[in-house]
Amino acid sequence: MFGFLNKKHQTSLKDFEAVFQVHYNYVFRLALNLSGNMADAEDITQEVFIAVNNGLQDFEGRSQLRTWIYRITIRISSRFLSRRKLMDSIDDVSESHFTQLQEVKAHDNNILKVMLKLPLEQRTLISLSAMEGLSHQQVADILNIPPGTVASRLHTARHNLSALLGKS
Amino acid sequence: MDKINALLDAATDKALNAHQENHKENHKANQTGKNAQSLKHVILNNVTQSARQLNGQLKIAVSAFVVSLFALVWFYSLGTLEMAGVLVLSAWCAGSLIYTLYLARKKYTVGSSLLNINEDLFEHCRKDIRFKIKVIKILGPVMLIEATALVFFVAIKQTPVADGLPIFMTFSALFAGFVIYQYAAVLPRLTLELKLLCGEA
Repeated sequence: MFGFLNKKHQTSLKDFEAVFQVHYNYVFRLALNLSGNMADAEDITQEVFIAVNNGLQDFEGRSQLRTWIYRITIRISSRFLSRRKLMDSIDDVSESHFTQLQEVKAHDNNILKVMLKLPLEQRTLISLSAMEGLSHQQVADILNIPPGTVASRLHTARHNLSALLGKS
Repeated sequence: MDKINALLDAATDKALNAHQENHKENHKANQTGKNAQSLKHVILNNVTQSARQLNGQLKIAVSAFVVSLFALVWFYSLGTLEMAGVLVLSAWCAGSLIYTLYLARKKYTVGSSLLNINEDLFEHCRKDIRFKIKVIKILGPVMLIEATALVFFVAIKQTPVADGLPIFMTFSALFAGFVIYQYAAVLPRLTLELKLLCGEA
């Protein structure tokens, strides 16, 4: 599908815009699932596409473009979440924190908020397998682990999420 | 599709639609008379703008490095360069080279490091963070040794303030500031990120 990206000199703004149009929704959804917060999802999406734009010249088509973009999204999300946690710990009475707490109370049964209680790796597995119905093989390609490992880790993650949903 | 997937999809759709509507209303309120841009367009514009900015900064940094290096070699070959001149031009060379490397790293690292990985993605991220933490922890003692040496020579041995000493002291202060920033702001964030990736936070 993205064979035209194989040659470095063909990468231009137009190519990037095509990539952006195709992958925007998935990146935004994954960022939202991982951060549980719309404002953070916006910032993460922006940072992801800046990285994609910068690295597109080096993309040689040896792996799927989607695999690479999802990896970047996971990496940038983890960076972003740690930054947010640090800010919250420094300024724990800030307005954003207060709003967030209110939000959690108001939508206690919201799966996005409940998911935040899971470790990042489990959240990632659930999000990837739920989005556009990625197969175990595709998730395995993104995380670079065997499909069998994806299946077992996903089972644990879903079990933990069901337990948390049952509690809330 | 099972229940968890359906729940997650529905929650994501709901949040996205609500946010999109909210964004449109805010944008309309801010830009009276103009068409409201979608969130997607705003993000695309921001991305292309920051990519252009970064490219511009990188070009300026590379030019500064090339010009200062050329000037250093040129004056040195003419034999008209004094010690102070050598130090100032060297400082320019080093400064622009560091800035170029910083910008190039900012531009290429995230994307290119994830193109081909030969281990679990999370393990890859954890290793990267552990490496960064190690580098920061090495910088601390280096700064202490340098500061001790400086204090020893200037205050105790009372070394005269020669041509290069003010520049060297400025560099030392900048380096100390950089290390303090790494310890105060970057190290706690990296530690938190490592905990997050290890499932401890």
